Amino acid sequence: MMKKIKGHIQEAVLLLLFISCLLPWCMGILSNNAMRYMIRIFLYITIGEMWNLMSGYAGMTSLGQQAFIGLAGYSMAVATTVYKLHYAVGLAAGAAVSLCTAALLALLLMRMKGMYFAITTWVAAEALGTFFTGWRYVNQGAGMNITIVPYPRTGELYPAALILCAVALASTILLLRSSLGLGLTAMRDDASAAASLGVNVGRNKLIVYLIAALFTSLAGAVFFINKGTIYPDSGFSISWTISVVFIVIIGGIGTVEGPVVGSVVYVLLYEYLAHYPGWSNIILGVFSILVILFMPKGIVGFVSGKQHRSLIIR
Amino acid sequence: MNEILRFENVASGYDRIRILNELSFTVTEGEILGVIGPNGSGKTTMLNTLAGLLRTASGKIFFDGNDITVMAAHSRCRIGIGRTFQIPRPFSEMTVMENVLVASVHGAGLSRKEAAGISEECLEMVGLIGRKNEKAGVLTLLDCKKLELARAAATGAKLLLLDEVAAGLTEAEIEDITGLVSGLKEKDLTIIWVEHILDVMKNSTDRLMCMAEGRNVICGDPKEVIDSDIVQEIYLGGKE
Repeated sequence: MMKKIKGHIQEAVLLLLFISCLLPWCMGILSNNAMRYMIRIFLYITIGEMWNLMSGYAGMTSLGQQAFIGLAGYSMAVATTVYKLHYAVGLAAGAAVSLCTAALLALLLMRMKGMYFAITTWVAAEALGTFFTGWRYVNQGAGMNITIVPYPRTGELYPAALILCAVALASTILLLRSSLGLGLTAMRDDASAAASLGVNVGRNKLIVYLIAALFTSLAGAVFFINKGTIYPDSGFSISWTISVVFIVIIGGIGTVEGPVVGSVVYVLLYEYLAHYPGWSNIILGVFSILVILFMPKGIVGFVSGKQHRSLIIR
Repeated sequence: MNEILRFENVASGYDRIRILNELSFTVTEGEILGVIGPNGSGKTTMLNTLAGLLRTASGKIFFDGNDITVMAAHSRCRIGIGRTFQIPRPFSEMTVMENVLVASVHGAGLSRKEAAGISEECLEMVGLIGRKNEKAGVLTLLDCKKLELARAAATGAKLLLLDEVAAGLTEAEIEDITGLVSGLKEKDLTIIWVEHILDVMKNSTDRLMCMAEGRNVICGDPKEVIDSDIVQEIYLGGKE
């Protein structure tokens, strides 16, 4: 009974958050600047939830999700700038290219575990970055200026990012509450024990990997529409992984709320620290060390205490 | 009685270290086959190979007449091979009930509703129903072992692999667990039971196999096996 209520509280809180993000936009009281912050938060939540699903549940710690961010960004840029297509087509192209790449990489990655998996994802992303740096079609290392006519305003991207984030969150929650999620949660605690009890570990990992590639790539494409330019260094940079690890660990790995909290903290902290160039990374680093030392389960784990929060049973 | 499991000259191990050597034995439907042997004789390796957590290097394994030598672990569970672990491996961040649900949803392939019913039955059987909403990580060793039994049973297993379910427990606790195992046998389950405690093996199994260096050294009536010269020699260090 308690769990029933708890499950609904989670839904209610998320719905309230969604409405409180949507309403001000409907009323048109958000400044462009505020919307830009919010868009970044939404996109980081999306990428963070996906990384959390992979690392926090399925036991796949990826250091190379930027492969999908860069690929989707470039696909979108080419579709809109070169082929003059609508940016929605660009998003779809980005997702399609990323999914195909993910399916190919999966052939290799699904045979790997732990460190080997992590390193391979990173190498794949680096290799893509190097390839794009030398590829004349996308203007090599100089990157592309994305031209879309008419260019979507921040006010247009805001609901797109919000909906993407909401769909990513809802999918994560539904996934975790399904039988697949039951298996994933078991895998998080002990993968080979889960296999012995009938959980198809390999198939579950593949599904999670593909879902993560899909949402991560969409978030990446929206990010670069918002930014207006794309370079190999910005698309395929390891700093994407660094941000996302920070977000998930600070927020609370293995929880749905973790990446939400982590993203808000990260974007606010990052913006604030922009006033202290040179110090910002040191301060972020010290902050993460403190959180890891004193709140090893992240902010969400710390706040919810030792109480067991079940996502699965209703 | 029908044969449910057959090992034919099975070899397996970890990386280049061969642990099972030409291991052959059969299990009859409905029996409890006890397995003893000195440390390192390959008892747990045999269970891991049978459960599909280790790859078979050579030889064949037949279950219910089908060759399962190259089948994946989760598929083996689904066709009816359930196992417990020597050191209990509960999903510690999940509740006791969720632990068993993993087995009944994924192992037995039941719908959520059916699975909940079966899981509660299994928890009832091992006496953990009162703690079903507690986190599995807080359970005592005895309760963890009971949870292992409940999970294995909830997979709908026909063949249950028990890896030292009595090890590390007190006399009274051992009786408790032994009673549960007999109860499982009465439910028409076939059981392979690896254990070091000879008294338990002598009294609670139908047949006993002694392993040494990855081979089946002797297999037969439990009392005769324990009293045999060869077991006295390799397992207990010679007859006095």
